[in-house]
Amino acid sequence: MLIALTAILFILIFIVCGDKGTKSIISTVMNAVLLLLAIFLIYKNFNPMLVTIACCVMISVVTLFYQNEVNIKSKVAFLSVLVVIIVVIPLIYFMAYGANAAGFNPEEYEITDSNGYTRNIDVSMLALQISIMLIALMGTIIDTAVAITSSIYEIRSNNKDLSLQALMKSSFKVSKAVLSTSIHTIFYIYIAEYMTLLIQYMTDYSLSYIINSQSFARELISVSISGIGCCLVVPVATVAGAVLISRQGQIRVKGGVKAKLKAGATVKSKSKLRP
Amino acid sequence: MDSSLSTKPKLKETILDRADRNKLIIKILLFVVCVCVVGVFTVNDYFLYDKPIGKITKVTNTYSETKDGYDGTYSYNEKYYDQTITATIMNGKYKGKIVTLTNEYGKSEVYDTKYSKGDRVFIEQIKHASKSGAGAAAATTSKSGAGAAAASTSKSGAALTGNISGTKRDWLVAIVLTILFGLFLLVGGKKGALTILSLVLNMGAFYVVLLLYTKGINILAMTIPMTIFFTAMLLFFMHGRSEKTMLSFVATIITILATTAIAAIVIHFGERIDYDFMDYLNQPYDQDDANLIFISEILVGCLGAVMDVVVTMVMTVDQITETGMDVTRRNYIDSCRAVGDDLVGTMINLMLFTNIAACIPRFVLFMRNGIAFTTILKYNVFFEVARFLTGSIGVVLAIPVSAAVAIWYYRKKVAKC
Repeated sequence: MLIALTAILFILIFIVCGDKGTKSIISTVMNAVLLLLAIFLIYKNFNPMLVTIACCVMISVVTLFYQNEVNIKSKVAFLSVLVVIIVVIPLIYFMAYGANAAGFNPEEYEITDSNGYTRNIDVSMLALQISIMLIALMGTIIDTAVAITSSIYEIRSNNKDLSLQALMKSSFKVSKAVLSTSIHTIFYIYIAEYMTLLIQYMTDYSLSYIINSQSFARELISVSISGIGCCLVVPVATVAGAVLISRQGQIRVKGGVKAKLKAGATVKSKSKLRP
Repeated sequence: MDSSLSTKPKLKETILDRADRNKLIIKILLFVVCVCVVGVFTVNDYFLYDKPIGKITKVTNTYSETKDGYDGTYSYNEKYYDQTITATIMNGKYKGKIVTLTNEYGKSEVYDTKYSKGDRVFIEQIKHASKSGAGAAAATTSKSGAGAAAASTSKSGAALTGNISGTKRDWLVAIVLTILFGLFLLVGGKKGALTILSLVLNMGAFYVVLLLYTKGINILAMTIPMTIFFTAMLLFFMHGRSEKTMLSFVATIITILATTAIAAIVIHFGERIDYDFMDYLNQPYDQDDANLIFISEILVGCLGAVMDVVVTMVMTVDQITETGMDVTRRNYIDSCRAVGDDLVGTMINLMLFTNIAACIPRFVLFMRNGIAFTTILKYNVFFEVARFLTGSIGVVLAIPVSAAVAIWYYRKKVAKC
């Protein structure tokens, strides 16, 4: 069945999309391979946290720079994704640690000792939990950041005389719309993912049990972290996008290629300072 | 959290004028205060619970043993520890008393939990650590409350023991929701408030559907009207009453139904799906019922992404119609394709990460259990992968469908004029 679905997906992409569609297939496959590689490295006893962070950076490089090409839009998006990840990691750690969110819970009875699985696997489940939340976050914030930076770029290129403040204002308008659609996208994905869990709650448990149960707290924290990441990436990407894109535009108007190169260099050095 | 927020005004210093900046600072302060208030309240809401809750004050870990896990090729050493935990009971008839608890955990915490100082835990089977077992057992039953209280006062100093039945997590749930909703309002303003409202309404509708399902009504028959309701409501909230909303609505419904039909056909003609590995599915299950649940999941799962794509496509066609006076069908299709190409990549990646991330721990557990990679893919994480694929199919399908619907409508409109 999976093979059939994959085939249908590929055929559809080939029919519907042009060259860039093929590119998006390749980048999706690359991301899937990166994900599997991360799992494999964790299986081979590498530190889960380090593997995940490296994997996240690689994923954003592939998605942003391979798929969307290296330009000011993807650079700003990459920068804002990094900033948000650095901000959110302590929050994720605090939440996962405080909630004792590691491991499998009694609601997941299909994988227990009694079904013949050994629990002696010597991999920290807490670190894995943090990895999950981080990777789930990646997809959403990359999507949001790209949507925002490219719309700022469009606004800027359609209206070159816009002052920085005016650009900010109209960018924020677009960003808000992007935020609400992104939130709904993840919301539905998670609802689908936990439909069976919700059914189980409805049939078996009391409210006070649900709120304090590991499964509920963990999934809710996971959804919320994605949402929080989305919310944070909106102002970061909008501000960074408006400032950097308008700065680049100004220099392009004033000078030739050399000035542009210099501008690129200053943008880079600034971006290093910021996080 | 705090550090992230305090950097924001700094970034904006040159961009916002003074009044806006002050407003922003006030809003952020309000947000921080809200989070703190909710946090402090929910951390201390012991009085809401009947079950005794203890706050852990001291933990001693002692190494007990090393067990081996063997996956056929390698073996793994798992260290086990015993915990002796001292906790103060915060509510109920033992309030203020100190209780001694024991716990065992493996270093990986696969099925067990390592408790640490400051955790709040639910405690059951509280009894006195006296030698007379019968008396202690009697003290645990709540009906003999008076007797137990008397006993505990007479033996003041006698230690209590009990078992941990779980961590108190309500405060984290409350804090994370407050942060999320606060940020919606902070970043999104009015639109953020609408987003919250729509999420709450969605949850409500979903609750009703599940309630009716537990009463025995076919879940797919419920999910389809619910999806139509979700879509209509959401589009209306986001874009108001306009022809764009109508077009988006029609295109979304067509796409979703087409995607679900593809999934249903594949499920019907494919090999029998083994639902033993479906997460959280109530056992024993009925094959047809499980199929319906799975299809409903697919349907809901691609809804958000499809809507996202459709709205963008309809907007594009609308913009093109507004700017260009004489647009041929070819032009429309070309620009729709360009926009679609931009969307597809990131949306599919989003689907990949949000769906696949959750199965990482199981992947690792199974691999360390010596289960082959392809077997895991085929059985254990089957549902996540299937949802990812169907979601992506939905995203890709949304492009031609919405383009066709929008182009058809606008060309007709132009022809009329």
